[in-house]
Formats: sequence, structure tokens, C-alpha cells
Amino acid sequence: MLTLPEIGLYFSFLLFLVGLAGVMFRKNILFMMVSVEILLNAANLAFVSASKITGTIDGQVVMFFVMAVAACEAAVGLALIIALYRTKASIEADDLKALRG
Amino acid sequence: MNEALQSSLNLIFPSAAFYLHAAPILAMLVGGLVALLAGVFRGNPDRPSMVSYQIGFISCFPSVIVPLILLSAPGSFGMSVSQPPAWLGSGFLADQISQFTFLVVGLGTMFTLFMAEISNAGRQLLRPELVCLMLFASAGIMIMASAGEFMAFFTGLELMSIPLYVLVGYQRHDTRGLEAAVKYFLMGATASAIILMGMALIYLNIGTLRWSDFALLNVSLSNPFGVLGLLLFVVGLSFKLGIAPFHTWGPDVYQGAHSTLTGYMSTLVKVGIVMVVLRILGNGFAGNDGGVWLAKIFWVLGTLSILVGSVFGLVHNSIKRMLAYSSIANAGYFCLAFATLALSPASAEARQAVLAYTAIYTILNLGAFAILAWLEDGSREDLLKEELAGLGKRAPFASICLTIFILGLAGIPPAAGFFGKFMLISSAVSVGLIGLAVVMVLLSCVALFYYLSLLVEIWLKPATRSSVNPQDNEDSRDVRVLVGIVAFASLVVGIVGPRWVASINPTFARENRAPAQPLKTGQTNQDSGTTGQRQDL
Repeated sequence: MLTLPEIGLYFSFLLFLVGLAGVMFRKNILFMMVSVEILLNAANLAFVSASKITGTIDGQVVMFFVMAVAACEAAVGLALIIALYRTKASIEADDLKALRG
Repeated sequence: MNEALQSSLNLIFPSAAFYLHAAPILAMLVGGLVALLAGVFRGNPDRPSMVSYQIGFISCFPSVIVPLILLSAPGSFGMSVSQPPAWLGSGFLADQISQFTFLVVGLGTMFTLFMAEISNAGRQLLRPELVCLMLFASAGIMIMASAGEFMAFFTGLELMSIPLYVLVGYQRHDTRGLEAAVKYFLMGATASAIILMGMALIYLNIGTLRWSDFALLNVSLSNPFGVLGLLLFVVGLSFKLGIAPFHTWGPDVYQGAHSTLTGYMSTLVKVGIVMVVLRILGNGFAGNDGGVWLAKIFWVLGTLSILVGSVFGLVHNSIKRMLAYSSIANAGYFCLAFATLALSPASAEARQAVLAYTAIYTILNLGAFAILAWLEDGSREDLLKEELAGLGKRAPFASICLTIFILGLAGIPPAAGFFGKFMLISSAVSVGLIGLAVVMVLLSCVALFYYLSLLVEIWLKPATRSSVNPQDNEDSRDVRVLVGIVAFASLVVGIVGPRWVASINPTFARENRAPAQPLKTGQTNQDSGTTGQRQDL
């Protein structure tokens, strides 16, 4: 029988896979960014579940740090996407091909 | 005053020795804020960012002076040499490895700022925000390198990465820079998330976040979460280091970013992450074969990196892309060092080889990209290999310096790179990694082909109409002097550096506490506390 933190842990794996698939297969940069946020939140959930399972508090503290960092990252990412949209009028990953070897 | 209050006061207001050891980081953080604020006030209308630049430059001084004092006179200020101090729990380790990193990062930041100020190309970039972002990124690298546990490391990692995403897309009307920035952002953020997930799984196994407790991790197939966590952690760090097969962002980002900043990105970032890996691997995996597993992983990653770096570099015409592949090949050498460390964690020789190699690599790459930035002269066009034709006659001094850097990156004996590689390979052979060492040397010979083809263009081909013709003016004189100094320094470091590094005591600082006990996954919180931090949830 799974306990609640264990369910949280397995659910975080699921979220992680969803996020990873999003980053790899989505073509729209905005959705790729959302997928990155899902990845970060999956890690958060894993940290909190692990904190409950191991009985230590460190994981919950990490979660707060990661939430703050995720907010900064989203701010910078959105700014970059807006700047990109202004110059290219597109935020499709396939249009990013100025840099090719 | 009761003891708990006293200890929490010590956390908030550590001793004066803490401020001395952390002065490099604190100066960079404060300097970054002040430089940003200084941009509000208009000083000289011709050079609006002059004040910010000066503030930024001065904030780098502590990270050069303090490490020089502490490294040249170990034991000064009453600090113990055999037991270096740690503060903020394990969050800030003030050992000689940290001081060494501070020195390299401080000098690298100074060089990049100076280069931005004196060159035509750089001056378009130099605004208060640039100084602020660069100082924050440098502070992040220092925090990361001196961290003894995950949370300080992660804070430093993000303090480094987020300014770098902005720096790559710094010229926001330039499509290529923006494209590189978006790619770097997506890859970097994903890598951060992967590192986090890996750490969450490791934490699930060991119950603490300290690098020194990684030794408790049971790395065997009977513990799938532990193995998966360690794998994710390694993959995330490989992304950040640009190790193949996680290198794909590298060439694009290096090409898209401004050359002055590419040098900074391709070197100092790696310095920080290499130190983190050094700290993790240096603690070893007591009583299980985690080290052997990791050595195998780094074996594969190292072979792939040097293969990709050497072979794909051949097919590119853009010099920046070539240098990007060269840095992937060099990441292969870092893998060799990591494999060595994984097999013999306590080996002082291997640790010193890593320190020497990072420093030498930093000098060579910074110098090479500085010359590139100068040759591009602010135009956003990529410099192609053919455009170097006849440079040896047109700008002999720059050509000589560039030759020194290229020979160094290739690892030809008189130049600095050879000694770094020699130390790495000899320490690898001494722990029995002969196969990997042979692969490295053989594939380096393949890489030699594209390094030498650059030299052929510079010295043997006649100039054509498309060749670069660097201007000879006031600016170029400054650049020449600076680059000349760096080229000379790279030669000096190549000769005396290894001996100096050998005088560094590469032991890690340790927090004063009882060692943690292994944790059985799934146990409840009634278990008697192992780290003293356990409590009912």
C-alpha cells in the first residue's frame, strides 16, 4: 500500500516525464517554457515527498528556493521570448535557424 | 544567552574571518548593485557607462588580492591549513580550492570588462547592465565553487545562469543573439531542472544535501532511485559543461553571442561547474562501487566529447564554431579528470591537475576569443577561416598571440595547454585509465588538423580581398598590449603554473559535526536523528 508521500513521489516522476516530453517535442517556444516550469515543479514535488519520507526538513527548504528561482527564470524567459517575437514575429522553434553550422 | 540563540546569531553574523574569506563574493554582489545604480546618474555624456565600468573593475580587486594573500601565505590570519574553515553549515567552504577559483574568476572578469572597455566592439556593449550582469554571474560562479552542499550550489548555479541567458541576448535587436539566448535559456533551464530532479532522488536516499554525505549513497542496481538520481545529476552537469552528447547548444550559443562575452561564457562557467564536480567526486563513495560506475560513465562521455569535438570541428568554416568544438573536445579532457577522480578520490595529484587545467584552459580561451572580438571589430558577421588568410603579414603581433593560443588549445609542447594535458594524462595513467588516455591523445591528433589549418591560413596563405584587415589605431594598441600580456602569461603559466598549483593544498573544508549515518529509505521520523536536523513533520 502506497503512502501519501510515495504517491507524491511517483506523481512527480510522471510530471517530470510530461515536462521532458514537452521540452523535446513541442515546437512552440512558449509551450517549451511552460514544460520547463512543469519540470521544475516536478522536482519540487519530489523534494517535498522525499522530505516527508526521509523525515528531514531540507527538502522543503529547497522547494522555496526553487520556487523563487523558477519565478526569476520565467521572467527572463518571457522577456527573451517577447524580444524574439518583436524581431522575428514568430515564436516557433523551427524558425530558429539563423545559427547553423 | 542560551546556546541555540548564540548559534543562530553566529549564522547571521559570522566572524570577521568569514568576511575576509568571502570578500570576493560580497564585493562582486555589492559592486553589481552599485554599478547598476550608478547608471542612473549621467556623468560624462560621451562615456555614460564609465563610472559603472570603474566600479565593476574595482569590485574585482578583492577576488584577486584576497586569494593571493591566502594562497601565498597559508595559515595567515590564524587559519588552520590542515583543517580549512567552513561557514554557513557547509554552505561556504573557505579552502584553497575556493580561493583558487576566486582568483581565476576575478582575473577573468577583470579581463573581460577591460576588453569591453578598450575595444571598439566592446564599447557598444558596455552599459551599466552589462557590468551588473557580469558581476552577478561571477559571484554565482564563486558561490557555486565554494559550496559544500546542494542549496548553496543551486543558488550559485542560477545566479550564474540567469544573467548569462540575458548576456547572450544582450543586443536585443540582433536576431542571431536572441536566437542563441532562447536556445541557451531552454537548454539551461531544462538542465537545471534535471539536476534538481537528480538531487531530489539522491536526497531521498541519503536524507541530506551535503556533498560529503554523497558517500552514503548506495550505488548499485538494487537501489534504482539512487542510480537514477546520480545519472540525472551527471546528465544535468554535462549539459551545463557542454559534454557530448549534451553539447548541441554549445556551438549555436557561442556563435550567436558577442565574441567578447563568448570568451567569458566558455571559460568561467566551466571553472565553477568543474569545481563542483571535483568536490562531489573528491569525497568518494565509501564502501560501494559508485566511483567505478561514475568512472565508466565519464569514460563514455569523455570519449564521445573528444570524438565530437575533434571530428565535427573539421567541417566548420566559422572560427567561432571551431572554437566551440574545441571547447567540447576540452570538455572531454575534463571527463578524463573526472574519471580519474572517481577512481581515486583522495589523489592530491589528480585534484591539482584539474585546478591547473581549468586555469590554463581559461587563459587560452579568453585570449583566443579576445583576438577574435578584435578582428571582428564590432561587425556581427561571423569570421570565416578563409578570412584569416594573410593575417600574419597584416597584423604580425596579433597573429603571434593567436598562434600561441591555438597551439595551447591544441596541446603542442611549448604552449601552456600541453602542461595541463600532461598533468591530467599522467594522473589518469597512474590510476589505470590507460585506455581513455590513449583515446584522448589519438583523437587530439585528429583535432590538430583543424587547429593547424587555422595556422596555415594565418601564416602561409596570401591575403585575398575578403581577408580581415584590422585597423591600426589607438584602440588596437590597447588591445594588442592586453592580448600580448595574456599570451605571455599563458606561456609563463604553462611553465611555472603546474609547480605553483602543486603548492596548493587541495583538501576540502569540512563542517564541524558528527558524520551522517546511512539512512534506510522509507523509515519514519521516529528514528533517532542522524544529522541533528531531523524533526517531526
